[in-house]
Amino acid sequence: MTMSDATKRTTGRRSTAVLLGGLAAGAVLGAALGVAGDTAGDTSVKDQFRSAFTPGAVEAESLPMNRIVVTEP
Amino acid sequence: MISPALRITPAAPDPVEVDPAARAGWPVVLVSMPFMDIDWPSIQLGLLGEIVRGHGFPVRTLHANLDFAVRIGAGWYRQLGGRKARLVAEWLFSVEAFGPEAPDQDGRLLDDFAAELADLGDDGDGGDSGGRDWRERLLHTRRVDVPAYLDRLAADPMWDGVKVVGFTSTFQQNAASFALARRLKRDHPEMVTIFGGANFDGEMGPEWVRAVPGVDYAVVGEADTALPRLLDRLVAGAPAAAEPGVTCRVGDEVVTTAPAPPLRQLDDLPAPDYTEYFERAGRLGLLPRTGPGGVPIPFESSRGCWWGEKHHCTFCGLNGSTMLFRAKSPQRMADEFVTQARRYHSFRFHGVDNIVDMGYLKDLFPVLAAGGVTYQIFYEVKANLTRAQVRTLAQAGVTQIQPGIESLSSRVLRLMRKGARAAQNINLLRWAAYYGVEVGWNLLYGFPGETEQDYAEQAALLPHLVHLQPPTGAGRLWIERFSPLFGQSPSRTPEASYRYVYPPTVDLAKAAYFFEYDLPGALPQSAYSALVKETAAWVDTWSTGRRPALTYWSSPGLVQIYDGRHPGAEGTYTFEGPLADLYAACSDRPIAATAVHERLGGSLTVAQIHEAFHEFADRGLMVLDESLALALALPAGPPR
Repeated sequence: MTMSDATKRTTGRRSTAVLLGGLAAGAVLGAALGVAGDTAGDTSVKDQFRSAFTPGAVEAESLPMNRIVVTEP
Repeated sequence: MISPALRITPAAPDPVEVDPAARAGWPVVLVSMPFMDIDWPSIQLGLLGEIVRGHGFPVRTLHANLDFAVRIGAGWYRQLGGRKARLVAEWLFSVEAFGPEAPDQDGRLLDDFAAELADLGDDGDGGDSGGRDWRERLLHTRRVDVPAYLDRLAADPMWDGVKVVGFTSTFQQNAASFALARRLKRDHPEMVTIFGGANFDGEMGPEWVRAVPGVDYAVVGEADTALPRLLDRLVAGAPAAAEPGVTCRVGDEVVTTAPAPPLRQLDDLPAPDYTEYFERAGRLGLLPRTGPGGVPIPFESSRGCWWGEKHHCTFCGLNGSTMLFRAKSPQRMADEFVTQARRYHSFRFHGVDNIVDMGYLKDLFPVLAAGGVTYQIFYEVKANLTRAQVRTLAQAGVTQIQPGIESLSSRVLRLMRKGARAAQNINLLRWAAYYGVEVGWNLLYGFPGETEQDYAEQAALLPHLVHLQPPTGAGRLWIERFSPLFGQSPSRTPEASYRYVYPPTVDLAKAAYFFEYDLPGALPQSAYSALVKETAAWVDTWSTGRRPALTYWSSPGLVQIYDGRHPGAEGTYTFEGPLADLYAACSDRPIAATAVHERLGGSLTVAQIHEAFHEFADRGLMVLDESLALALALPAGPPR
């Protein structure tokens, strides 16, 4: 038995196409904005920009990508 | 003084036949004089030396520029060599090149251009200036260092028995080369001098042969074939006048023959030999303390310009007679990198190409990336590279590029015939920053047909781009020989300082490369003040070590943009739904509203998209370039 055989048996899952963001295009998260044909659309665009900004500086080093801290048990 | 007339002859059909053994009796020295860069070897010497050696001539190369750098101090040398305006480096060698005929014996140049030269002198060498001001220092270099250097160089026993000396000359190498030739001719009247390089292209070569007695022959155009054929004629005692690409004096005439068609099969060229550079630089203490691994190895993977063949950028004076684009095969280049790295123990490579062969993005760079090599390669590229292409370059080890950005106005770029839009230029800066590729670029202005609005818009744009690598500066274009603008500038005159270097017997209209001009339709300097000011502010920001940030996190239906470009105004924008997806859709490349509409599946109308574009642009989060929009923020996280 090869390694790949073992993997298949372990997962037992058929390969399917996964779409990232299938819900996002207007269905759930898009509900905040008017969609095409919505007469309130113009106002919605401006509204979202009006409330989009949160002031404040982020420390550049606050989320280091390459630093893993290992502590003694 | 002899003032020969110019005659153009048809080319001789065939090379002369020479007994190969006879070539062994014709030692050749190929020289690179100041102010060739000292931090890497001369590809001209490395390549032509190998070619001439391959034809059976005893040849040695001589990076004589290094000796001068050691004499005057490497920092001072770099400063002088880097100062192309006002030809101050040429002026230093003028008296030794032309003797009593030199025009500026007492140094009027220093008074007449004092405002532009006064910052010379502080070279960072730790006190080399000895407390002298810049005038004293330049005069000392000219009156003491230059003659002493030339005397010592000319007295070297290496010249004994040498039959031919070849000089390669680009930018500010003419006067020093003429000065050494004059001394060698004085001490060895039978010695033959051959000059070539960019300074001898077009009508410049014949004029230098006519006007400078120390120049016996000039090779005009590419020398790979012409130089060994000329040497064979000298060996055979055959007249050289009809040799393609060769100019010489015959009696009272200067005879020039058109160059042969440029070499097409660049794979036929040998890999350049830089052994002498490394030996000499090592002996003189000019190699990096860390060893040769810090020295960029010059390479040439192509010649000409595939863009210029179709649309010659209006200001570009490169490729005087050889715009035809030719490239080495990907396999040959891969092999050459490996060979040169092994030979010289360096992983740094510097392409002298005018523009990268786009075929390499499929056939060469992926091979380098897959091979796991860790090179640091410099290339000149065209600015309209895509994100994927920049990633490919980065993965292959291309760490520095020079993309010829020149402007951030699509209108001005069209006037230049650059073939790229402002949004493409900015997009290249974005992805280069993202993938860690350093970009060398600058802003040019002064083109006929510009408007004040072009520059008001650019000046307003620059503060939004400070998270990207700044230009080295903003400056008025120069008129270079061979550029289309050269022909469109009726009142052009050779740059003023040429007359402080060369005797009046030199016809500078034929010999000069840089020109002053009054282009019809160009704006006054005041139109560019705001651009120059904003450019300086951008450069200053980066010079402090602070790297302004504009990054975004993205998930379908959600984008957060952190704006840390300007101290005191930092903050985070959060967008949800189609607006978030719109911003993400504008990140890879400049995109039109109609294309965004399709990408979003119609969740926003085209009118809403236009409105959103303007809202993003008003906040400096997006740039609008006519019908195209481009997100300015970079994706957060490690590059992928």
